[in-house]
Amino acid sequence: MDRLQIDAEHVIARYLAGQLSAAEENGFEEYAAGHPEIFREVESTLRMKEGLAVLRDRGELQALLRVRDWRPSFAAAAAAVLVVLALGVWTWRHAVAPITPVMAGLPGFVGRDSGSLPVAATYILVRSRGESPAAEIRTPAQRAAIQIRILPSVFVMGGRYRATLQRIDADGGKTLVRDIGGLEAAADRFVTLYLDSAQLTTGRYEIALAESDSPASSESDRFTIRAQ
Amino acid sequence: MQLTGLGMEEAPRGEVLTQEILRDMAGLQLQLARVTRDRELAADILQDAVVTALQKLRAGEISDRAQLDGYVYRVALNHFRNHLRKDKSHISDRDAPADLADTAARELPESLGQAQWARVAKQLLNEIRPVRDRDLLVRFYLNEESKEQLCESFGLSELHFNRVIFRARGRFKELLKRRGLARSDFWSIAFILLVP
Repeated sequence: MDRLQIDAEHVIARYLAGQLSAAEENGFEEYAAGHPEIFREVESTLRMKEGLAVLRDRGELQALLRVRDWRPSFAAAAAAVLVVLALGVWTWRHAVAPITPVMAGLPGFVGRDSGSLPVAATYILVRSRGESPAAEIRTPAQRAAIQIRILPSVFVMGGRYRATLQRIDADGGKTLVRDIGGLEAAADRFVTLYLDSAQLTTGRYEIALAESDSPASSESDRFTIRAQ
Repeated sequence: MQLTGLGMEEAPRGEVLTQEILRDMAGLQLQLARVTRDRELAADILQDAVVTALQKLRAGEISDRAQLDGYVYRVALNHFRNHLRKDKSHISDRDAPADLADTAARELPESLGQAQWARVAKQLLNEIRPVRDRDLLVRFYLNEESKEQLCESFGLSELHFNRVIFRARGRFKELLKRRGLARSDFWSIAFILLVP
């Protein structure tokens, strides 16, 4: 028997536990007689056994064996960092974006913080023949919800609608701000949206409403509003 | 502590050496106390081994400190294993070792060394991931289950088993050393104490 075998085959622990065959036992004892430094390893192993035995005696061992891994793996930690980073970026973008009116079809939902703001004003948008001027929307001094009620030109009982809000740039270009699906017309046929006044900065916007299932190319009800 | 068999002029030096040897074999002594459930008996066994070794040294049968320590350790270890065998022959079920250990714990107050090693063992267990590997370590070293049994029970390969045990063993030694609890100068304490 040599040191390599003693280490590789855990001979010391097995020797102490009486698990070696007679031949292995003789081999180890012969080795130990010629290499007394091996008793350092034996002593170290005995100290570990004693340390574990003390933990058992104290009744601490079972708890140590039951403790679940709480430390995240590197991958989980990296994923968590990414999520936090993404949330941070999202929050920052939405916090500093100058034009971020939010629409939603659910009463009470008026902004990204889902706060229940008081409704400051209600505007009704109905499609009319010919060119319509932009509807003027006055943003209140205090943050509040602005209710927009739209009468769709095509009413389908139980049908779903999709609304988009786009900011109209100075050059006439449009920037999509929000796209909301799953809106439903009420019994009075109106589809209701809410805007958060705090997020509605001065400028022109276009609200378009169409049936959810209709192709993108199909005609929708379009309204221009001017926030001031 | 009496050192029978030594000349009067050698006794003080022999006593110092005996203390050092016993200190370096504290793990063996405590494990011996555990299996005999008698700390006095364990101390006596080691004491006798030391005295015999010193006599052999005097007679020229042992030539250096390493051999001296090795001799003492071997003799004491034989006692330990004999008691362990006796102990195991009285055990008929798997729960019995815990009962015996509990009895021993009640009878023997915890020493400083035990408390320190327990702290190191606790740190070791806390460091081991996953929890299954902790269980493996405890069942191998404490419950003395065989490698084959454990590999089968945990569905592990021999390679995995070896890796876990090897790492744990190395880490335990490292922690002992870091806390200054490794065998101190086992082989290097001045042999000059006995050799004029």
